[in-house]
Amino acid sequence: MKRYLRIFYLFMKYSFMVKMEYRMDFLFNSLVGIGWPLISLISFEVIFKQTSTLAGWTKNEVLILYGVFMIINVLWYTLFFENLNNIPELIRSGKMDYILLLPLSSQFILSLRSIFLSTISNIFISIIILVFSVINSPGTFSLLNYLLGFLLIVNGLVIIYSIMLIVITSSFWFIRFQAFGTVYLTMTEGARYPVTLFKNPFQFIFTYIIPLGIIFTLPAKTIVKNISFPEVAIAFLIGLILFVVSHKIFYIGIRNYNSASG
Amino acid sequence: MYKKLKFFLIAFFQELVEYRGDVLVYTATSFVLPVILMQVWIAVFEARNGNTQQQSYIISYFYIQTLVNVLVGAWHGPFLSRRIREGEISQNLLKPFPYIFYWICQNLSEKIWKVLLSLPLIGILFIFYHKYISILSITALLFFLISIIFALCINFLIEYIIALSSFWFSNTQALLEFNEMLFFVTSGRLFPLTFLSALIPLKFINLLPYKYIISFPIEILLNNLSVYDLLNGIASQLLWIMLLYFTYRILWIRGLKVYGGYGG
Repeated sequence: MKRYLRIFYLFMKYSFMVKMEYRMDFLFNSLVGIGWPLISLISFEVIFKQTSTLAGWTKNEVLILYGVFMIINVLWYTLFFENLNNIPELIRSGKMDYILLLPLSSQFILSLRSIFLSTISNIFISIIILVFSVINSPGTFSLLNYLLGFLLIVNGLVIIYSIMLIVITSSFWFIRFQAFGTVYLTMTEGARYPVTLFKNPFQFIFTYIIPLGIIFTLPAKTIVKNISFPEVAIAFLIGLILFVVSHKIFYIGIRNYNSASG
Repeated sequence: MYKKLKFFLIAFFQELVEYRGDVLVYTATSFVLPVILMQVWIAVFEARNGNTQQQSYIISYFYIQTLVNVLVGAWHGPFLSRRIREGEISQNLLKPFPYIFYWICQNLSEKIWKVLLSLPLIGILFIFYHKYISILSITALLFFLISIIFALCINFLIEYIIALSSFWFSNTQALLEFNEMLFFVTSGRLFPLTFLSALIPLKFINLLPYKYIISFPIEILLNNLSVYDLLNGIASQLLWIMLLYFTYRILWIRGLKVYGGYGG
């Protein structure tokens, strides 16, 4: 375990060194990264000029949900997206063989090889928005709210990672997969808004099929509204199950790849 | 000239038969955001005890937007800028027609595919939401089509011009993304521009061309415009097309000089 942490630290250090060589690009991307949160804030302003609550959520609470959404979103892009997105290319170019030969967990390497820090500016903005909204909220939150909320955010990230891992594993069979980023964007399009806002069939889809409710709405709800222990427990359970299942499916993909090229 | 155009259109069309999976994915996903926004705004007006007229307006707005999005779409920005940067356009410069025709044909033929694939989705949406959508008039439809053609020209030229900056800069990615952000807020994609006037003064938005790409055609079809606004808008679209076209010509000629200077 310590070994993996040390290697992860090295991955981070080298990615940072490489990115810093292109300082102008890094600066540009950071500035551009401020744009999208700004746009979302504008859209929330427009919405809340028309109404004071949205499906029972006040503007402040919606901003907390947005903060949660951004944190998970940014962490996905920073840690996992590019790495998983490159897997089809690695397969096509044959470099996958070398990675599979390394004496480390292939899933670990393939998922965390590079850390993409250019999107990191978004996280600062998200945290600022989150902190501001929490300060502005009436009512007090106990430590349990914060702790569970934090754990549910991590859980949400794990669920996203597991689902996307299953999606990209299909490239072991189909090889071409250009729309990976689009899949993620489409999946999480409805994530900025509380899940209760949607009518059926969307609410059903976003609660049970693509569990946006558990990934995004639940952590925010836990922080700013009431804690519903059954829901929290189910969320962690689903996170665990999806992680294990995605792990197994991934290794089925690797075994299939090995036998095909062998 | 027409023979060459026809040749290209058919060639691109056939190429896209191979990639029809990709085109299907992109078409379907472009529907997701407007439909979700539709849901959001329905919920907004529900909280206000259903002002049915405004609710009807907003649902019709996003319903039409799905079609408009498909019709005015342009996506050549990253590809063209990469071609310029990597010097791949040299061979195309020798051909006996303007290089921009290549991209126009690519756009039109992929567009035909996208429209065909969108029709069932639009039909499904109509089944679910028809009670909200108001009836249109024939004259509005005519002006709608004209404004769509102009809107496509504007969108196409803007992205083309930004891609041309690759002759001088290497980071067109950031410019393209900045363009997309500005487009998102000021064109009427995120929300109808009639809701924005309180925050950002409409005068500022009217300075930018983006309003004429999405919001203006939709408002025509929704019969929301007076005759004055309608003609004013169409004239403004034409003005923008002329301005953008001249900018394109200047940048193209200047750019080729820089390009040739590198021995490309």
